[in-house]
Amino acid sequence: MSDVLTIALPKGRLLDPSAALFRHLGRRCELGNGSRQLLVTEEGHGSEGAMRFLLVKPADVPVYVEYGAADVGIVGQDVLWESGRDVYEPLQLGFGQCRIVVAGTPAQRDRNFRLATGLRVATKYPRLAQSYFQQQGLPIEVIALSGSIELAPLVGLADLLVDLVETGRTLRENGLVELEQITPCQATVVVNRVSHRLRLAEIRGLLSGLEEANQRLFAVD
Amino acid sequence: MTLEPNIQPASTGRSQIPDGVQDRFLAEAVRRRRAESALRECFARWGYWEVIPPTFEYYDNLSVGAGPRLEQAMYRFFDRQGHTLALRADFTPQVARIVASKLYDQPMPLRCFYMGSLFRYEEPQAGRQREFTQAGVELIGANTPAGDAEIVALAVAALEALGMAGFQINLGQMAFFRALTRRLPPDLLASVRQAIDHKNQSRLAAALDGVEDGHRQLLERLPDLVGGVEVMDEAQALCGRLGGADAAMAALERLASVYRRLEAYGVAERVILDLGEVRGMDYYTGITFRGVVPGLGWPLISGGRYDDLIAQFGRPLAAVGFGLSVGRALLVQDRVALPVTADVLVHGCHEGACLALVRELRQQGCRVEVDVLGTETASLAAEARRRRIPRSLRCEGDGWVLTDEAGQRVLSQRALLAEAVGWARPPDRVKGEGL
Repeated sequence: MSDVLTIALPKGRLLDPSAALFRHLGRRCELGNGSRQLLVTEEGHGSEGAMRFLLVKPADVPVYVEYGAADVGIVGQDVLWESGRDVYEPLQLGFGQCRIVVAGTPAQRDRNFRLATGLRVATKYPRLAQSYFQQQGLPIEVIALSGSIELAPLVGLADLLVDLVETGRTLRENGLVELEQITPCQATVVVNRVSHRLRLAEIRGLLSGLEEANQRLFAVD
Repeated sequence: MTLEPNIQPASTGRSQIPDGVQDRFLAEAVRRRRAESALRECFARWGYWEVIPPTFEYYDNLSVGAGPRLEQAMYRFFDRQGHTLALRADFTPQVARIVASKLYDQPMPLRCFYMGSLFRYEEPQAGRQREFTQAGVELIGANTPAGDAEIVALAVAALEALGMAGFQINLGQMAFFRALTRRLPPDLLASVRQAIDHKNQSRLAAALDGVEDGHRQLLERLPDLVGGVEVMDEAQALCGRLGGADAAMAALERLASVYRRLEAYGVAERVILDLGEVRGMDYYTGITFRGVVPGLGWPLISGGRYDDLIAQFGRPLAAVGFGLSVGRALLVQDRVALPVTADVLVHGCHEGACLALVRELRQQGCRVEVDVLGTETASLAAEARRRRIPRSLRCEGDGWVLTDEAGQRVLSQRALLAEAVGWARPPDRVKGEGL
């Protein structure tokens, strides 16, 4: 197949570093920067084959990639795991480092949750929250919210929250404390399972290029 | 007072069907049946015979060899004696049961195929509803590289019979992975397998932390051991450095032998060796493979060798096979406009020889509709247009009046039957034609 390789990039905080990786590879990834274009196709790129970039909501990156509408994508692991989509995850990137944590008011610190019944947990990550508490053997009621999760424990909507934190500042400013880390997470490259098979050489080339660009731009040591 | 949504004004309230099932009709139904006939014909030419298992059975039998994920996806219910029944979610345990309980003393090897609906309570995704059609084959009683190769070559033939272009088979060897991971505790094995399956190198490295060096190096390479015969060379070299890896070496040798046969079949250019292919049914014990095609995000075919499954039904018999998702295959086909109309509308008055002629036309292979609405002869051509039928026909004296896009002509019966030979569209032509 001589088709262009389609790359899905997430709107928001991961867009700039993601686009920087591709620009480092000499790709004309002209998304963002005030442009409202959602789809940019490179004009011919020599023998290497052109790429096409899609700008989508983070939660939609795994969807585009699982269906094969995009061959490759970049997305946060929090979003990827919450989506439960079946894609390859061959390369983790050195940006977007965060943690998914359980937090609550300081009063929750000494609570024995095994004795609690009707525990309510507010979150943007209902799947992750549900499966984490299930593993702990704690039955919970998930309250799925779409933002300002910190509010929920403060006004009695929920006992706890599960959310993504980078520095923990928002939690502190709202008088909340981190009780448990569920998992660290970072930006990751995802690849469609069929594209990886059918366009193996191309995708291998891209992945090693991205790995090197990642080392250069975002090496953490 | 309630506000009724008014999307379906004519609805009687009985128009809904559950999530995950679909009505198939008109061209879509024709396409499906054509694909199914093409596959039936293909399997028959390779000497495979159809088995038709029941749609539901005892849950205990259907769940043999199913992993936890498939078990969860099964539709279960009770009969009046309180037995747990289930709709089938996989054909292979059914075939295993039939062979072990009924066909075990037939001359081996047995070659059989199946085709029908499977039921899984999963989120519907492209081409796969909760009820979906699978076609597949099983070759039983031949634990040989030749048997493995036949099944892979037949998978290629089946995809060709469906008119697929640009497809590829990724061929792996579960026996190799199992031999390498034999000593890992089950929890660790599960996370190693998952990391390889997602090509997640960093999680794989973390999972293998503490595993002895040689095995760790080889397992860490698995996601990348994908390609031509050079992959085998590298795997053999890495494997040679391990002590006591006879089983792993034998598994590689088996794979090499299968690949040589695929070259002889002339299908090797369709096959990529993929030692990172560790997914699949929990019952796979030998080669395992997936067929992928451009334009579809999911595999179309998946199969492998399962030498221990039939033993669980009481007869130790080796087996290898594959399943193919017919619905997914249809998603990739070009949607060539497919007329679902008759070839001719005949007035069919009962006085003349009309109905006798109809019989002759049908014997010639024409699709004939007889007017049953009592349409006036003068309006017959208009009626044919309304029904999108390309021509209409009525008797007049000893002759026949034929109206088509060229206009109206009067023909003798002989001339008419001669012309009608060209009317019929081949009903089940598949190759080269979009389904």
